[in-house]
Amino acid sequence: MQITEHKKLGAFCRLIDAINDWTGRTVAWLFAPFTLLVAADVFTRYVLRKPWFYIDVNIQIMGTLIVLGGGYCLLHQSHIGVDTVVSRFSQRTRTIIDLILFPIFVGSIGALLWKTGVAAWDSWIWKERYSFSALLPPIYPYKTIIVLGVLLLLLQGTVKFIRDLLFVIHPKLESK
Amino acid sequence: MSIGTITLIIVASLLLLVATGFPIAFCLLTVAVLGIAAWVGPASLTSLASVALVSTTTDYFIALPMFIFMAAVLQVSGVGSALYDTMYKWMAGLRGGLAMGTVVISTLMAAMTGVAATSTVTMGILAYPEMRKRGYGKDMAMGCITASGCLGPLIPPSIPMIIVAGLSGISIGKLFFAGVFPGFLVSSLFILYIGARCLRNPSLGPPISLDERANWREKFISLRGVLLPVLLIILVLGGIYGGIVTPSEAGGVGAFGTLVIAAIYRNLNLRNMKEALFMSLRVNAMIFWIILGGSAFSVMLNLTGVNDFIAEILVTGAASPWAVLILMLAIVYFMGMFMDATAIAIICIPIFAPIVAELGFDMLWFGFIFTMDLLIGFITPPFGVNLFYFKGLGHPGVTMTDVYRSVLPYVVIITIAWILCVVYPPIATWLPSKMIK
Repeated sequence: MQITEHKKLGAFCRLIDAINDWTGRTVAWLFAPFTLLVAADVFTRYVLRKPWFYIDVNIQIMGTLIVLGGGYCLLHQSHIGVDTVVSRFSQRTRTIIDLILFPIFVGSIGALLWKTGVAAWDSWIWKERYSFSALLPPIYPYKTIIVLGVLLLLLQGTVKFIRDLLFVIHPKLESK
Repeated sequence: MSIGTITLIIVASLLLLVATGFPIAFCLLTVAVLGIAAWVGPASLTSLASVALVSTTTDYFIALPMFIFMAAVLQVSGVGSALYDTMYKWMAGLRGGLAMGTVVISTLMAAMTGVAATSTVTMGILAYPEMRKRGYGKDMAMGCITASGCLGPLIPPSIPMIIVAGLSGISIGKLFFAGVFPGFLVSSLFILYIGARCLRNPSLGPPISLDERANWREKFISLRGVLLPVLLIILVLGGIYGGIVTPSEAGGVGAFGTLVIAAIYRNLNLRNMKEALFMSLRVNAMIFWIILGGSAFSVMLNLTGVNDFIAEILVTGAASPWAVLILMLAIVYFMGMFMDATAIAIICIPIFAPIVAELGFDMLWFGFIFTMDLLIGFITPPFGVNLFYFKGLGHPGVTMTDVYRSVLPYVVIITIAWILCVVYPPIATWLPSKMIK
């Protein structure tokens, strides 16, 4: 592989890293309203004696924290795996195992992207709403966030694949 | 293809994938996708969309991010070092006092956190170097930290309990309080063990010299370090026990209260806040992606009929209801040595819970001994997450073998305590039976 291509790939990797890092660091702040809404709800219920539909909002905040946190979690290598067996192998062998696993990753996350994508599309067409609460909030924005989160995860996994590949081909070049 | 062959292929491919170090969440999702595509038909893959929606927006899981955030704030709040200061003044003069004190602090912190990492990391940073400096043996200094981290999810609040309760339909609040007495039992047994060993062999945990010890005045002043944590525990656990707030609301109130405590200890700055937020995001995403992958895996087991097949084998293969139960618990104990607790719960509960209900066992009691079984997996080598949290702190001269060796006596102790809870259920079920709702 040529050095210039190597540089282009490196730039792509850094871009995806930056996008996922920025997304994670931004989304993480949602923990603040998430917590405050509950504290406020307990207050309104016991002091003002008025129930309030915080749960409709909070469930979507929770979902957003999860799905958009997926890529960030992968970027920071926080998706837990069992390395008892592979920790005995060399860095190079482990990287090659990861390379072999990439098609599996693309297959499963790709299937998830495809099916959540179709569901989100239908949801927009039908202007679908949650049925479990009195407020009937729209569900399609959240279904779109799921698709976005799965896409970010897929991209971050692809970046890891590119880096692993470069590492195996040119062990000496720093691809970061 | 016979259902037996399908089951075998599914189990084998999951084990193989997990062994490669591939993240567990993706292992579960992959086997689910392949299983559905191969044996049910690609059209059924549509269920992935509802799995993704349902597993990320289920209201009983809302307690998870709440308590995860609370634990993260607690870790940066300075509560740990305030408690450590109090403990040091009271206990450093005893043989093995610092190790026993570490267990005491972990017990207190366990009543504020639902994860094992909080006290393992906090005490690993604060207590381990100090114990080594004071001449404590490596095993003595390390074992008490990794082992008592287990108390975090055993004593309420508890992340694994929320998952187990959510999956099996038990009340989260009741399951929480089932853990109180067993938690104290384990904690007291740990302290007794440390005390007994250091009494017989003081060189394992020598007391600090007389002139370094705090006087009574200093001891009592230092007690204010315990005040705020105790208030927080009363607020959060008292609220749940009294039926005033739901567990998820208690999590929100607790996280808010922990922020206030961090502010009082002057630790509420932007740097700490960001650390807590980003840590919460990672832990939350990690757990929920396993729930997502695991839910897909459960759906696949149902669609292919493997679920019923395994249930049938368990029920017909064993001689009595107790044999079935013991077999299930043994499977979980064994899986705990190699796998993450969330993943085990999400694979096993959908299969086990209906069987247990049919056999007529008390579901709350089963939920509790199942959870405690999972928690033992936190400290059993080779894949005990707590052991890796400690190793990850990078203390010089600590090898993985050292960590494994130091925790073994505690694994024996907690297993004995667990067997006691299996044989004598009231240890766990008495307190929740007295709850208001």
